[in-house]
Amino acid sequence: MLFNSIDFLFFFPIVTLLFFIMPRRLRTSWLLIASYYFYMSWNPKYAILIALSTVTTFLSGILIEKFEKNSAKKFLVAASLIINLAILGIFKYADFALQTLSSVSSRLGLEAMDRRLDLLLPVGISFYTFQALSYTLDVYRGTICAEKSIIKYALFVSFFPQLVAGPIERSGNLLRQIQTIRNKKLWDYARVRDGLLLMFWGLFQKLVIADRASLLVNQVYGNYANYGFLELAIASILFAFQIYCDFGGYTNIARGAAQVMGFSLMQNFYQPYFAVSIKEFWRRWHISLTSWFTDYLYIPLGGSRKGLLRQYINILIVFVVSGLWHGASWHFVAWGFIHAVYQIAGNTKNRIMNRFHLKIREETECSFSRNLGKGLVTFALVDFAWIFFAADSLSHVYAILRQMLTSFQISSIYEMGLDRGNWFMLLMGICILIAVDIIHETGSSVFLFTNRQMLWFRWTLYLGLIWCIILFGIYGVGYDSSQFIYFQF
Amino acid sequence: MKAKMKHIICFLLFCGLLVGTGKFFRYLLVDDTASYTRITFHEMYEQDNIDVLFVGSSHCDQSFIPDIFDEKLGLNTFNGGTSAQHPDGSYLVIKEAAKYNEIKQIYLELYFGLARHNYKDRTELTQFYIIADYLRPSIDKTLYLLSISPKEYYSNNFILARRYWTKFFDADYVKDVLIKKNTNAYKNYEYISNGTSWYYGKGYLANSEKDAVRDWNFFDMRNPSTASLGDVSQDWVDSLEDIISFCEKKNIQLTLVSAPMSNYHLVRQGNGNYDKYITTVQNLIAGTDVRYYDFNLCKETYIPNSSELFKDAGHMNYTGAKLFSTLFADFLNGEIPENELFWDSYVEKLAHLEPTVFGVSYYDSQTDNDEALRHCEVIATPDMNLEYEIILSPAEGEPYKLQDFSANRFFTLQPDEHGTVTVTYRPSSSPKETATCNITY
Repeated sequence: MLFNSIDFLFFFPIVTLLFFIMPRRLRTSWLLIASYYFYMSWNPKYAILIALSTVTTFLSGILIEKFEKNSAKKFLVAASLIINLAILGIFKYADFALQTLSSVSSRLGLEAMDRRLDLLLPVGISFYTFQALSYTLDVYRGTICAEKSIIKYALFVSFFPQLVAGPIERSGNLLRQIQTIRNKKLWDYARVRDGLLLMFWGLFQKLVIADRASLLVNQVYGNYANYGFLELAIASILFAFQIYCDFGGYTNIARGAAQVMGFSLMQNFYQPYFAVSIKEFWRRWHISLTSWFTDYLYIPLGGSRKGLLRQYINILIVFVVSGLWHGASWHFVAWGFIHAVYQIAGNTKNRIMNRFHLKIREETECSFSRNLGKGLVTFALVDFAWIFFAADSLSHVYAILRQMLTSFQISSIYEMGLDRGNWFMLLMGICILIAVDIIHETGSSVFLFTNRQMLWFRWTLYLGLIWCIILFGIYGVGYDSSQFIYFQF
Repeated sequence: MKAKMKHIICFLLFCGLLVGTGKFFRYLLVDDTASYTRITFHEMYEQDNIDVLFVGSSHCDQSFIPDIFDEKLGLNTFNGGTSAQHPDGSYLVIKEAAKYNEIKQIYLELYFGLARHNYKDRTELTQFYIIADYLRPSIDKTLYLLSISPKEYYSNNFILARRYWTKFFDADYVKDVLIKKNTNAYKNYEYISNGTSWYYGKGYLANSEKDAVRDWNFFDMRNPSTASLGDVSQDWVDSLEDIISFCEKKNIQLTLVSAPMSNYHLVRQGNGNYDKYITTVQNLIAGTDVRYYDFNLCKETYIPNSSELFKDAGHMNYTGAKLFSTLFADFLNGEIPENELFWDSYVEKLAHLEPTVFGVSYYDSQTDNDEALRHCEVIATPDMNLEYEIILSPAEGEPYKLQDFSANRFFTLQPDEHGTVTVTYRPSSSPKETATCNITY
């Protein structure tokens, strides 16, 4: 059930309304049932995997707390990690591994192993597996106490707004809110209004910008041989906006839906394209995943505590694993690797600058022009890496890059999959997005700003937003109902 | 409590504004200035009381003239037929009309061409929108809009402006729509004629006499399917049963009627088995009070198979509709006995005709070598053991004989070929009785 589907249009109000009128003691169970129904609408069999992940991590949490001996605790953490990562591995990476083995063996002149499991990848498996694992690790570290109620814990793992594409919540935030669900204020007009506004903003990002940009990106990347440098560059830039609005839009809908029901989910994006370095980009992009990898992989590997070389190796490991987390394919690994190289190069540059006291003049250090320049360079680097992400394979990346560097033909902008009206709407949507991000970047909030305005202004804005989505959204007949890109991860 | 009330009022006001904005966008983007159903349903709501309602497809709205029935029956009749109106659409119109009127009698026109249609296969929805767009909001209408299509069409079904969103950026289009909607004709629900048809009133859409079929020897495309006419879809049966039970419940007399069509249309489309369709309908209403009159079984002395009465192979023009409406009203008044008006079957009707070639139908296909081919079939009175000689006279080139006298009725052409095909035919039992039919292709 997609957030931008008719089904969700009925599902969400019904679930929320019943959640509000239901006796307090039944609220957790109700949300759990709704969440499983939501997840099973893709494929009922998926529920077995999420239930398995829930039960193993729940039991490991209880047992870790119960056992005194450190070795027993370690054994339980390892068991939980192995079981959950094995599920993830089998369903997500088995075919990738078999394919790679087959390719290697055929290159070595050995008999090719042409075996595939062809298992259906359950949506959001990487998200809920990481969320569940973070709980086990937090209990092991003593950061939180083990949850004693399986219902509450199961809801933490499967909470439908963030189940299939995050944010990857920590038990310290979401589980704590679920534990206090009985004490939640039922109806808060301002909270519900703001939640709905956030959902509509997310839908605008997804339906008006991301899915419209995808028409162009799919057309150009799918037929790259017919286009030259300029068109491919435009498609690459628009892909940056597509993926931001697709994932950011999803996150906003998820956060808005949770807010309507009285839950607060973590912020996953913080104007990522305003970053002035790659390091900063990763503090603004998919924040929940970045912090997960920092807390549960980078720091345990030693972080920056064990020398420069080890730090660089750790960065490399984290980003390659992050690439692999996104998808079982070499082009995702390459995408992660490129970001690791960016980070290492950036780090090295800073060290050299510091070492040789090559400081920028103090008065220009924080100037607009300097930040703009750095921001544009960062965007260009990120956008180059997005080509690896958007392509279907490494050979596709190679073909696109070769075409970019060898063909400089220019065709009409209306031959790129968008007509005049769609171009207008896309550019208008991107302008609105940038304006909103600029306001947020200055520390203000569009939502707060809106709430401070007169009724006529607010309502005009709400009506404009809703009708913009209804009239100009890419959905319904004539368009494929687009999955959110991150659902596949 | 006060705050809650304020929020509820605000919410309702906002919903009202949302709907109002939708209506504004509809006014701006939807060009319904040439829609006759907008006028039909406006008039339907304006009637004092409709005693008799006609519903059905274009064969209904172009064949039943309410003024004639009003005069002859002394009742207020109304034609709620619309182009390609399926039985579920008829059911909606019936329910809507029954809400505001004490209907005594409903004539449901049945066109066999819609009977095999499965509702889930619907992709082109214009014929459904021309009904729903102009009916008042109701639960029936909502259920209809939910049932006419798969889910991905819902936004278009319910939000009219969404269908035309691309026009939002076309200033000339929007300006043109606003100008047309700002005329008195539009505001007063006057029909803007397209030159060949005009809105006559009370739901009847007239076709000019000038629009009579120019070439009665037809050459037109058909569906290559050879499915039997007796095979009707379950959806069609279900909708018909819904209408029957609704009329029973409301104590409305229901009568099924098929309007006259050309023999070419019936023989071609029916693959010679139109009687199977009649039998299917009769079986469906067996044991009910519903009657069925099929005017395709009407004797030629009452409705001749003449180009003067039709605008095309399937629809009557104004002259034909006048003749048919008068005849039907006289029949309802008991002035003409049923057994005198109708043959018992279509086969019987054809058996009383002289051997005739009605025209040629065709469908196009691609060969394995990607070569386009036009498959033609001579449409003639069936079961008469005719032999055909076929001569082609291309627009460019010399005439040549395609086949000597033979029972074969099939031949092929190139789709881009044009000219005249001359079919000379004779009964195999009497080779000297030949007749000729020239068909332009």
